[in-house]
Parts: sequence; structure tokens; C-alpha cells
Amino acid sequence: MIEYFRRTPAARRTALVSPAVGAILLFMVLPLGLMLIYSFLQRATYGGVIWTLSFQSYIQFLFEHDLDDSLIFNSAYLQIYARSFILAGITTVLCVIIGFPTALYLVQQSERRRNILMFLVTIPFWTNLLVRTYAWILLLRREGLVDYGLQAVGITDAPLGLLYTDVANLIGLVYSFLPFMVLPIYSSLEKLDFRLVEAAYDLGANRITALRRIVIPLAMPGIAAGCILVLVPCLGAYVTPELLGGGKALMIGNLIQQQFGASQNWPFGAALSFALLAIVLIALIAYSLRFGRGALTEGR
Amino acid sequence: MGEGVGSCIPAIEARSVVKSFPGGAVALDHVSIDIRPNEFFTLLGPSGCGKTTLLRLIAGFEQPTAGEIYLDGERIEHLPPFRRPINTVFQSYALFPHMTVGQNIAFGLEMQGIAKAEIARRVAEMLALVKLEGFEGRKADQMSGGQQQRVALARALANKPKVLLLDEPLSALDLKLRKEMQFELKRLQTETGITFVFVTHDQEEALTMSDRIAVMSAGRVLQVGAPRDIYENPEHRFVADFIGETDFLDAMVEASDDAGVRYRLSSGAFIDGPPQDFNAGASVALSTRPERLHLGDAAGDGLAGTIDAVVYFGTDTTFHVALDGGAGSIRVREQNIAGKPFPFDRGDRVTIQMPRAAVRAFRDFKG
Ligand SMILES: Nc1ncnc2c1ncn2[C@@H]1O[C@H](COP(=O)(O)OP(=O)(O)O)[C@@H](O)[C@H]1O
Ligand SMILES: [Mg+2]
Repeated sequence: MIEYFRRTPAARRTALVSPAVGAILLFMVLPLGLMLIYSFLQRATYGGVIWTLSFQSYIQFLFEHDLDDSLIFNSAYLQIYARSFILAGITTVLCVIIGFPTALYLVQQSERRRNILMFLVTIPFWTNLLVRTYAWILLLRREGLVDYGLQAVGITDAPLGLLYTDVANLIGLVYSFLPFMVLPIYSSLEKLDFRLVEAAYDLGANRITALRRIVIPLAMPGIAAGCILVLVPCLGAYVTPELLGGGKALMIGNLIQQQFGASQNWPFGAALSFALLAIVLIALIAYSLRFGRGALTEGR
Repeated sequence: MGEGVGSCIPAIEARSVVKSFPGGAVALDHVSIDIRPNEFFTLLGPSGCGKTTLLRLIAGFEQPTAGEIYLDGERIEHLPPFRRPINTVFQSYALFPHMTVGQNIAFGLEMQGIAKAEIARRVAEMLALVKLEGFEGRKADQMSGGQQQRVALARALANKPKVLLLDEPLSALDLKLRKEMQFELKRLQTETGITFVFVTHDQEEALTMSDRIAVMSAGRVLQVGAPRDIYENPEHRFVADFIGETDFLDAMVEASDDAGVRYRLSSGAFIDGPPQDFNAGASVALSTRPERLHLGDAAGDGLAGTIDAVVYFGTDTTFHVALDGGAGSIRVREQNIAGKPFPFDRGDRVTIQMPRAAVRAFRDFKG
């Protein structure tokens, strides 16, 4: 493919790539650009924007106006960002802890079993996230199946009332993002030559050491890719915190939604989105500097 | 006199080892071998005969279905690979791609909990042993095939194992490098005094390198012996066929006594061979080796035939001779002497001189 493009005249080359470039411009750069512009405009009272340059939205992110109109530092929004990062971070760690052994188990199965199990892992993709989250409401609500089960077995003696807590939120987040961790780890483990593990045993390594020194380092690109695939969308999660967290403990996604919805402050919503985008971009750049060019796309 | 009983204990002993895989494949069928300490022992056989399976059982990657395996007289089947003082050079080398050459070699030493300074010393020593000084910091995948081979050897030898297992280590190398490494391996084995169990499907490699060879076929060990022994006294038709060049002729035993055996070919011609345990009337496969036979002119004494083809090899020439009466076809190899070409050519009538010792017969069943 690359060879083909190298030998093709410039005009033809341009013609060939233009649909792809057009699609990217139309569906990615244009909306993002629009949001960027919005974030530097003034809010209109009932939603929408007034076309006047303003830094108000970015100022509002960190400061609030005191009674005498001087700016004082306001950490409320930063706190929501911090909460989101902590929740997303814990979700990512839990996904690694559950996802890595799962992927390791999957690759050790016979091809037939593996295909069936991989199908099971991807089944959640076949149904709507909203429906699945409502199912969790039924499970987690007071006197729900989880409470009932725990009491029946005798682990707890009173309803836990998990629904609308951070725990419920975490359970929902881990549940919905776990496949995004399992799949990239699975694909990097699938490429791993298990004779290397045998070689490690042969040289005196036990199972734990072989895992630590051989399997995990070689699966690292998959683990890192999985972490990005979980962490980044988890930061902007909306449905799960809204439904399982009860919308009380806000995450970034809910905050942004509020600005475009109830608060009718579009420029601030746009600015919040851009703050998130900037943080994520910086993290991704740091990651690819660490693991080398192409680490993100090639899953090496 | 001073030799204790200990010196007679085999380094590795397999007793009636059976290995079958789920699905019914029997990879090893009652294999028994003794491998002596400090020996260069070769498992030789065609692809799929069970060589790798036997190595994997010795290394501990697989469990035998039945039978026992001993190391220095102690049973080891129950030990996991990391508890056996045995190391392996894998066919694919299996170098750790995320580590440098030095880290690869140090891995086994680290597992033994050896001090850092000592590890550094041993790594340097191993690099010198395989002639790779200065490559310590290279990543394993930045090395050529031959170099990777040496790293794999150094890594496996660093732990000073009692037994080193080598699974077709040279099969991925080109001819020149292979010859060089054959020599190197032999040198390493002599220098370290470690028992080598070497696997190959290349009979020439087995003959030139080994102290003793076990010839395997279809999960069984057919014959164990020194290279000369295997070559000159094959006990099975398969062994005669697999090692060296051999031609077979269908024959009947005409007469057999203590002085020798007389065979009759399908054409009615007679061949005399050394004594073998046959009854008159038995049908056998006669085997001959091309280099043991000589050509004479048509008037000479011996089996008569016509030259079918002449193949020049540089050092020698091979004549393919079709025997009269449709008794079969055999090859005769004559050494070339400079400036003195053979007076025979394609289509010429010749006779084949067959010394009695060059004839060997096998009961005529396949395998
Ligand atoms: N893991 C396995 N499962 C099933 N059959 C196997 C397995 N390993 C080897 N075999 C079978 O055992 C026989 C011997 O294999 P192997 O030991 O690899 O032969 P070699 O090394 O001499 O080429 C072959 O018929 C092979 O198909
Ligand atoms: Mg093999």
C-alpha cells in the first residue's frame, strides 16, 4: 500500500486520500473547531452563544466572582475533575486486575473454546449500554438481587443500599469498560510465543517469576493500550454515573452535560470539554514518547 | 579399580517411557535409553518420530503417560522444569526479545540467586566461550541467526547444567554456518564436560558429531550405538535405509550355514554374504552400500548389468546399474583419480564386484 503511494504521481495520490481527509475534516476537525470557538464566546441567556470574544469560560473554571467582583479561587470544578480522574483511575486498575488474568486464561484455551469465550466477552457490545445499566439498577438497588444474595448466603444481614453510591458507579464503570481492557491484552498475549515461558521455566523461573519477567513485559503494549481505551472514555463517562451514581457525585461527563442542558452555558461546557481534551492529549503524547512512535496504533 | 559404582549410573535413563497425547497420537512407544555422563548423545530420526517429545519429557515440559525417567539415578518425572539441573537450547532459540544478550544469559543465574558481581563475571565468561565478546548490550533480535544460536547456547550453559538438551539447533542455519557450529558444539561439549543430548534428522550431522546415536522411528528406538556401529551393523532395514546410502534387492535365501548365506535374486543370479540367522527359503531384502562395491568390465566376475546413469560428484562418481533379468537397480560409487577417467559410460555392459562383507540382509517386512 505504502509502496503504491510512493510510486503514484502527486495529483493522483491527493485524489486517492482526499475522501479520507474529507471525512476527518467533516466529522472530527469541524465539530472540535466549533467547540473551541464556542469556548471563547459569551453565553446567551437561554442557551446558544453571543459572538463576542470572551475568556469568561476559562476564568470560570478556576475562579468565581466575589461580592465586590474580585476573582477568588474556586476549586469546585477542579474537584470534579479530580474525582473523575480518581474514579477513572480506580476503574482502570480494576480492569487490569480482572482483565489480565482473563486474557491470559483465554489465550491458553483450545482454538474452539477460545472463539466461543471471545464471543462471550464481546456480547455486551451487542446490546445497548442504557439497557445494561438499567439491569444493574435492578441488581444493586435496596433489596435487589445483590442484597438478597448476600443476605441469603449470610455475608451481610442488612441491605447494603449500594445503588447511587460511588461503589455502584465503580461497579458499573468496570462492567462497561472491561472488554476494552481484555481485547488489547488478549491480542498482545496471543502474539506471545509461549516457548519463551518454557525457556524461562527451563532456566529456573517459577510460574510467578516467569509471569513477572517474561509475560507481563511482553504484554505491556496491550496493557497500556487497554489502559488508554478504558481511562480516556471513562473520564467522560456519562450514562453510568448518571444512573448508578445517581447523578449526585458528578463526573466530568455529567458536568459538561449540565452546561449544555440545565445551565444553558454552552461556552462553559465547551471550555470544560477542551480542558479534558488537553489533559488527555498531554497524557497520550507522554505515553507515545515513552513507548515509541506507533505504539498506540500498532499495539506493539 | 578406583572406579566406583557411581560412574556406571547413566546421566539420563528412560525406562519404558510411553507418551500419548489426547486424541490418541502415541508419540513415544516404550522408549528405553541410557545416556552416559559426559557423552555427546544424539537422537536421530525422521520428522515426527518423537524426538522433540522425548526431549520435552526429559526437560520436564511434559509428563510421561507411563514409564520412568532418571537423572543420575534419581527419578525426576515429578519435578517441574525449574527444579531440574537440565537446560535446553530450543529449535527456535526462544531468546527473550525484550532483553539484551547479556540479560538473556544472566536470566538463569539470577534465578539461582547468584550475586550481581558473580553474574557479571559468568556472563562475560559465557560470551567469551561462544565468541560473542562485545555483544552484551545488543537486543536479541538485532543478531543474525548464527549469533542468536550462540546466545541461546551461552544462556543454556551459563547455569552449568548436568545435561544440555539441544533440539535441532542447527536446522535453521545455512550449510557453511552449520558446519562451523557443528565443530563449535563439539568443542563446547569437550570443554565443559556436560552431557549433551542432541536432536537431529540429519544422519550426516549425527554421524560426525556423536559419541553414540539412538535411531528412532515412529515413536520407537530401533538401535543405539556408536556411529560406526550404526553405520556398519544396522539391525533394522529402516536404520540401513536412513543412515548412509543404501540399495535394496528382493531375494530368497538359497542356503545358510556357519560359513555364510547364499541368496538368489529374482533373476536367478546368486549373491554370497556373511553368516546371518536365516532359514533356507526365507524371503529377505538384501542391502548394499554404493561405496563398498566396485565395477568390472563385462567379462569380469560378479553380477551383470547395464549402466543407467553416471553422476559426477567431484570427489567420486556414482554409477546407477540396472541388473540383468530385472533383479533391481543398485548404485556403485568409485573414487575419482585426477587425469584417470573411468572407462565406463552410460549404456555400457558391466559387472559388479560385491565383497561378501558388503552384503547384509533383512527379513523382508517393511519398517
Ligand atoms: N502436543 C501434541 N499434541 C498432539 N500430538 C503431538 C503433540 N506433540 C507432538 N505430537 C505428535 O507426536 C509425534 C511426535 O512429534 P515430535 O516429538 O514433535 O517429533 P519430532 O521432533 O521427531 O519431529 C508426532 O506425530 C506429533 O504429531
Ligand atoms: Mg522436533
